[in-house]
Amino acid sequence: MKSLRALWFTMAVVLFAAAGMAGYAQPASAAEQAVKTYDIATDVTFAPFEFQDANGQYVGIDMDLIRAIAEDQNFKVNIKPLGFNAAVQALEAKQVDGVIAGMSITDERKAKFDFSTPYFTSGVIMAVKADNDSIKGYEDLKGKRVAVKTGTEGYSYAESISARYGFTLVPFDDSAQMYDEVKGGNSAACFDDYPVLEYGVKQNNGLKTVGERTEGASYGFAVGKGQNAELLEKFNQGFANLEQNGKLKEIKEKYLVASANKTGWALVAESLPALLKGLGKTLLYTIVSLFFAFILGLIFGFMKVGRNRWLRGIATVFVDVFRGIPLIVLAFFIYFGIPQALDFKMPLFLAAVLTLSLNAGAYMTEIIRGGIQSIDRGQMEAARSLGLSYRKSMIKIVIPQAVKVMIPSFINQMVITLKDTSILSVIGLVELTQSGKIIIARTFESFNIWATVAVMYLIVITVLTKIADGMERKIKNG
Amino acid sequence: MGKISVTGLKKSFGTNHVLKGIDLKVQEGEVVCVIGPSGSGKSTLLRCLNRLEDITEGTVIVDEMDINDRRTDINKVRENIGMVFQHFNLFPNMTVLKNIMFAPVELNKLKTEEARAAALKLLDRVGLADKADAYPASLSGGQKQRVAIARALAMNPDIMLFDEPTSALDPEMVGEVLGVMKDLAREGMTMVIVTHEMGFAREVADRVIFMDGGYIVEEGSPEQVFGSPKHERTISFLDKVL
Repeated sequence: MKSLRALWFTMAVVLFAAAGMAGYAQPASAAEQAVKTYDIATDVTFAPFEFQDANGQYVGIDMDLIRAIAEDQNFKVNIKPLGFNAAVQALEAKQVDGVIAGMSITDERKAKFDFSTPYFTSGVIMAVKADNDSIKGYEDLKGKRVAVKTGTEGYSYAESISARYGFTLVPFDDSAQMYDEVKGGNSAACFDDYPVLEYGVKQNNGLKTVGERTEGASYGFAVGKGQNAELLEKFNQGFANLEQNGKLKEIKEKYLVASANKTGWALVAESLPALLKGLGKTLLYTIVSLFFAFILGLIFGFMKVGRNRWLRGIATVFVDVFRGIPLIVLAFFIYFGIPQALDFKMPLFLAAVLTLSLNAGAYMTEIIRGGIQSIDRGQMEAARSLGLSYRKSMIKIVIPQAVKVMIPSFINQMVITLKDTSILSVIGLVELTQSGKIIIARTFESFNIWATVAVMYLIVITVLTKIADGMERKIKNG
Repeated sequence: MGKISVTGLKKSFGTNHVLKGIDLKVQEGEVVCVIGPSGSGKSTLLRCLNRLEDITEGTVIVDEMDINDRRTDINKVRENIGMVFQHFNLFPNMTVLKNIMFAPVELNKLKTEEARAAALKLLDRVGLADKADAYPASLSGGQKQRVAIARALAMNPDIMLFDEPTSALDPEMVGEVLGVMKDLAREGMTMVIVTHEMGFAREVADRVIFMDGGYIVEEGSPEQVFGSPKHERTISFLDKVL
């Protein structure tokens, strides 16, 4: 038993390490070339500054700007669409070299980051449902709910006037959700940066802007405090060049003019390739994570049913810890917390697999322990009384019976883990849910896209469950 | 020396002292029946004889080996001690034949073909030759217990331990199991039997042991123990069960 455990453990460590190396390989080999590559984090849903077009390419004012500057200054960028909060945290944790995400330059942020020269002057504006004529100014918001996006200038502004005008704030993580909140009537209005709102209105997000925009805040490109001075210098130099040769104006005009989006079935058809790619990622992460979770489950499950008090204790702690931490907290801790504390870059792939494996591993441990303990003690006693060792009795008598008991729970865990991959969208993993969110950010077609995403999950889970049921029947019958 | 020799055996489960000092010798070929009220420690004593229970104090010597000594290969000792359980404990995922062949093949005592022939012979001996390919779930209690006896015999042990082998059976099936056990006794097998079947004990046992409260209260030939019990507790127990 001991050597078997050691073998499993070694295998797990090697595979984890290999997964980690694979994640590191890309930037390492790119850095060898003469042209330097920088990891730039951005938002996923901040049209017109950054969003995915129908071909799955990241475009927008920020995206075109950073690419144009990179070309001008002869460096390469590796765009990481993480979501705004995640991007800022990733910069703090030194997971990325810079952030360009329509980020307002504030004193608070200046304490943590170094900013470029401002590249865009924004301002906050209010929007209400397109057919709402009762709200004409801030005075009409008394006692109402107002939707805001966390970490934005619109949030700070709304917060600063909320007491004066007597409304309450409802925070959201992305613009599309915020617009849907207002469109659905749960909140009376929302506040957002004016170019964002104007773009949304032009894309038929169902809202209209009301009142004047505020004195504009300035957007800047950010790097870590005291880090990457060279990159900041290149940005400023390149920006000055673009301003001079008129390219900057070109970029801004390109995105502040309306473009017709497809709707309904045409949109679903157009989005399908991106969604299928996301689904592929979901399945990949599910399978890889379940593999490691199963190994963890075997190791700790057998520790839990074993005779050694210390190993039992370790396994119990493992289960309690990873079953007790919500998946989203675990994801943040692994992707942002650990790298910040230990000062290294954590590849997203590794963080995602670690999070899911540890979480599912805790449940797998309990499934395996429960399965083994559900087998009557008399089975072990009968085998041992015949002269078989503990290990042989376990492998030949107890486990074959226990596996049959475990199968339904394994299938259940598979379905749960598959659905749980969607939670990892919070650290920027572009799986099925995140793919849907990205399309909605561009098109504001919540109903069609979420319905499509839901149906895709349903189909995949139903198919997998049917396959698993078939396998279960086969195993039970012989 | 004897086949089994127990001295000063004590066994506690936490603060529950089940065996409080047992001395017992079993000679080769002897059939010993252990009787007594439930909770008296009979089954625990039996389970200490092949170390299914670790003991708290004392020694248990089987075939001149101290089975609680770390240097003793307990698996080897157990190959020589067959055990039959109250609840049969047949392996439900194997046919009757596989149940019997399993240990000899797994422990490399016999080749598969030899084990099959031996198993069929054993099945014939317990009167179940026609059930070789049946699964345990399809057997009656009496049939299951006879398969369990055949399974224990497949390792060709010198000693057989029976832990209330008929307690879980419907009354009409008790006879068929006791019949097999009588044959074994007649053939000279060393047997320790925990039982509530007083008639069987009287007929088959060379020696009867009456246990109560973790001690051996009285022992002797069946005639002595059943015919003229000396101890008050033996008398009152026998009064109730006979």
